[in-house]
Amino acid sequence: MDLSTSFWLIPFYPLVSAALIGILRRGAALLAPLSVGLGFLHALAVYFLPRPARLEHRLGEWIPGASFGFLFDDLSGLLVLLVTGIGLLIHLYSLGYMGGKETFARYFGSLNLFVFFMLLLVMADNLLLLFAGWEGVGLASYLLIGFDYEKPAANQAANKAFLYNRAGDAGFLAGLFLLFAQFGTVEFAGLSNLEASPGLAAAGLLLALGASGKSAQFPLFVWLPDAMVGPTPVSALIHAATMVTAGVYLFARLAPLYSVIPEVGLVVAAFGAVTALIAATIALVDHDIKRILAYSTISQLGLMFLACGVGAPEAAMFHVATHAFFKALLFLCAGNIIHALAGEQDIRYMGGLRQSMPWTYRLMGVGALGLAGFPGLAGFFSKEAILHAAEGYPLLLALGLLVSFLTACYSARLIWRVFWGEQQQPGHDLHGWELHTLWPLAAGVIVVGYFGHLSSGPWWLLAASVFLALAGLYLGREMRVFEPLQTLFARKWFIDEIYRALWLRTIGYRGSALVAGVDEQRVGGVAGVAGLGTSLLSWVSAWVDRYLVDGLVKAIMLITQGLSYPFRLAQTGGVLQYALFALGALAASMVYLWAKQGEIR
Amino acid sequence: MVTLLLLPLVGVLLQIVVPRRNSTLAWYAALATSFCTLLLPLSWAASTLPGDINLPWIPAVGASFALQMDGAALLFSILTGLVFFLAILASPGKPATFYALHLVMLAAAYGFFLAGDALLLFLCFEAVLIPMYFLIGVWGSQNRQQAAFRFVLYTVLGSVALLLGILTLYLAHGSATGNFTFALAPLTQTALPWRGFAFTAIVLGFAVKVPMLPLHSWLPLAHTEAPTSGSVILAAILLKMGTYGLFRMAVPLLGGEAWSASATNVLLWLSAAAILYGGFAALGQTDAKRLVAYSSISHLGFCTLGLFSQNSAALSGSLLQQINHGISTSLLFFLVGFLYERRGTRDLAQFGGLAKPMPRLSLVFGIAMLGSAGLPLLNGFVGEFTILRGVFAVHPAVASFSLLGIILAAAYLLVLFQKTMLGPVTLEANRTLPDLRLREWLIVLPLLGWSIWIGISPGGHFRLLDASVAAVVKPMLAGGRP
Repeated sequence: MDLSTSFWLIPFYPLVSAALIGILRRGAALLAPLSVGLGFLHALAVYFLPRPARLEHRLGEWIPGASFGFLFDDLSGLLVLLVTGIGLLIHLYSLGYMGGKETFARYFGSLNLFVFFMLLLVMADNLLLLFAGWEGVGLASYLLIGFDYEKPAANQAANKAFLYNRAGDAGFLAGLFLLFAQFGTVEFAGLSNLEASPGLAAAGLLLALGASGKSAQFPLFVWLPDAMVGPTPVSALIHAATMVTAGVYLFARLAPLYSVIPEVGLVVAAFGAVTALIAATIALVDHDIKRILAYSTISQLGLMFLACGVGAPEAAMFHVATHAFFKALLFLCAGNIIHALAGEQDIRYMGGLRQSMPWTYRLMGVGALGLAGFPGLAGFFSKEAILHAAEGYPLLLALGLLVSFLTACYSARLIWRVFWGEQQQPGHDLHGWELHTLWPLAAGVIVVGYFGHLSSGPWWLLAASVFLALAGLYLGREMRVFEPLQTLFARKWFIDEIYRALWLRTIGYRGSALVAGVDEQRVGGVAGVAGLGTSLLSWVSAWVDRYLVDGLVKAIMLITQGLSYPFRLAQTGGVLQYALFALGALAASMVYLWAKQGEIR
Repeated sequence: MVTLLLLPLVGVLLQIVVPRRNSTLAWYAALATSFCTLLLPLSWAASTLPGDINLPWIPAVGASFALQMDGAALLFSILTGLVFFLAILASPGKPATFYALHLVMLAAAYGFFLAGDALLLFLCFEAVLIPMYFLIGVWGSQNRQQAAFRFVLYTVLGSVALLLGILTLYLAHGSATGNFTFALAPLTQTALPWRGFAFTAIVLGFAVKVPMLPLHSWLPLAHTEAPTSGSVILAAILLKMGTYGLFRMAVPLLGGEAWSASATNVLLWLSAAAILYGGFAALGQTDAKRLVAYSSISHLGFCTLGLFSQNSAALSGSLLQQINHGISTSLLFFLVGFLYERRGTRDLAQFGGLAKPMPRLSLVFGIAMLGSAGLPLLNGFVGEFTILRGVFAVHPAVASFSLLGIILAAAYLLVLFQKTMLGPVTLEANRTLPDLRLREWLIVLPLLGWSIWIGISPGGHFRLLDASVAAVVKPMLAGGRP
């Protein structure tokens, strides 16, 4: 078995490591990065050595209709490389960042579990196995958001993330059932060359709902900012670089399916554009360094959805790749700042860190420029590709350009607030894993853009995006938002409040308390009512028994008595009188017979 | 197969012989008995299934002592043996009567799952009732009397309906063919007058036991008040008698007749309603056991949904989901029982932060919870997925409605997990609780292993179940074509 035919082993390195860590409860610091590193090397070999366009391997059956089938082509290969490569860097970074050695086993076990499920997701050859990975990364995300399980805020954020994802997953499952019902298969190979039909469109929409849960898109995006209570490396890997891009991967994988239902694609694109705009405006006014980055992630994912929706999944995947580099870099730099400032996350209490943290400043600057789409860096090329794809849709293009501008604004604002101005608290550069794992990421931000499909958009689009990026970077430094809009953005468009009132308070608390109460008192009371009914019935039957049944008997008795009354009168007891009656009767009957005979004759 | 029924009864005799004072010896005897009965179905699973048994019983009325073994019966027998063994393992130091009651129930449960004769099935169905009444009424917690009373009241109501249904079929079959018999196959597979009436009565009888929606109010009370082993057996075995009985006696009656479409429609919507209603009610509970009890109503809604969908994939899924529910819910009840043994309470407000003193218990609890919530690669997902996929093909509206139940399931289980295991340790008493002991590991490991096995490789289970389902579905379809 050579390296490329054994490609299906790649997900199992981290799984074995997670199991070993779980059983041994030691050696996590060695096992976890080693397993992901092995997976990365194996993936590199498979990706770059000569191989057929589509490697497949079937391990065995799972649920009837779906098997443990693995697939490796350019699309999944790209993601496997990203997941294992950036995953490796973040495992190494965590060695420095997650100080407390006693929690290593749980932390690295969960992180390895995440890498396994993510690899399962991108290497599955059918939708159902993809769904197993899909829910699995949700579980790993739950475990890692709630890593600090003694903090109630962490638990609530973890629950919130899991439940919003579950809501999306219910849609995903419904889409899956629809596909099963119509085509009898959910293997990717069987889901190409389809005919457009209302059923297919419905399935496409439902799967898109699932994607919007996992990739934090409107209307299900509210969990991602809260997820930032998790450890920063987790935010970098799961909630920026890899897991949240699963929705984009889904569209790219199902591109043949979505290509026959372009109307559904436009809905996806519209939701993506709206999400991108909303999230970018919030990022413009938020004060928490990690939440700013989280909203930025949502916004960038919105752009990717836009690209998928207009039928350009390759542009979206390009942006997935570049975004993974600059966003991971930004998050890890933010982690270093938070560490240096003893846990401070509010950018209002930062400033002037340029002198005390020079390396972090340079690295984060590169990340921010990459995000802002500075010409020549990775983000510029991939964003350009997306805008080019949206060219035929003026409204979507306008929104895309606006979001690009806002992206540059908040990137500049972030760097300006943190590193320029007056120094509020002294910081210091970190060393060891926490600094040196950042170099490859920064290098990626600079060079990755040249590996993609360089877009051949019209000159005016290129000029516009260069101009908007530079203008945004310049204006964003000291940008003030007008008052009513400021409130709207700072309150996050009130979406979280509405959801909390609707789902949590109304349905979650009141609804469940109501049902539980009703069940205890009313339905539980059915037994009581039944008991009461029985006693009522017995009272009624007693009444019936006493007055009707007894009454009937009495009535018959009375009637008999009444009828017998005249006869009783005759029964005087006198024998002579009886004899007289008998004689009279005899005489009367004789007269009757005599008369009768005469008549006959 | 007769051995399977006789062994527990021999165990009961042992319990009588055991010296009164020595409860450890009684426990060992009960453990040994239940373990031996578990070995039998396991050995059949490893080799071949035994042939049917048909002994004369009451020839005058056409009742025979008939036992049949097929894939479904085998899986339910294994579940029965395992759950009883573990339930006894979880209850050391009880008087001999306690164990004797368990063994009587064990024999009756085997008899029920293997019965090939309606009268025998009914008898076993009834025979479980009395020991359970005493188990709840004597060894339960505060409200045990009320719980035991309500349990018996409801179940007897169901039994009357069931008997009525069986007798209707018996008389209809006898008068139509001249052959008065209680054998299950001819009763359920012959086209008879009065079928609709018999179906209604039988469904009513078993629906109390499942329990289906409006007939469920005995369950939370009985579950909550019963001792740990009682709750486990109630959830894993007794509720399954309801669904399994429906599968053996009610589902084959469905066919092309006019009433069957409207009847199944009602039952499907009731099942969907049970899924959501049970889920919401579980979300609003403050008592750990009550929460799990309501979750049972929701999960069994999925089982009945599959049963009445008249789709063979969904039927197999439903049977598997019944096994799954037996595994996951008994696991949850065992774990809640372990907490109750340590703290003497099931009030969720009395826990919190237990992951700190007992990390291993919380890990097992987490896996049990995820299995129950239907996470892929664990058991619950396989069952729910197969059911919903089957139902979606025939009744998309009902299936979509039920799909909301999986969100609710995640919600109430996460709440349960958070309130017990996560957060800061708020009470001093919780700070020094001991983690899982060896005996407790022995209880949870087989269930965990089975749960993961079904989750990853359910193929073998499906092959066993598909044969039983085909035997039911074929006559059902044949009945559809007059």
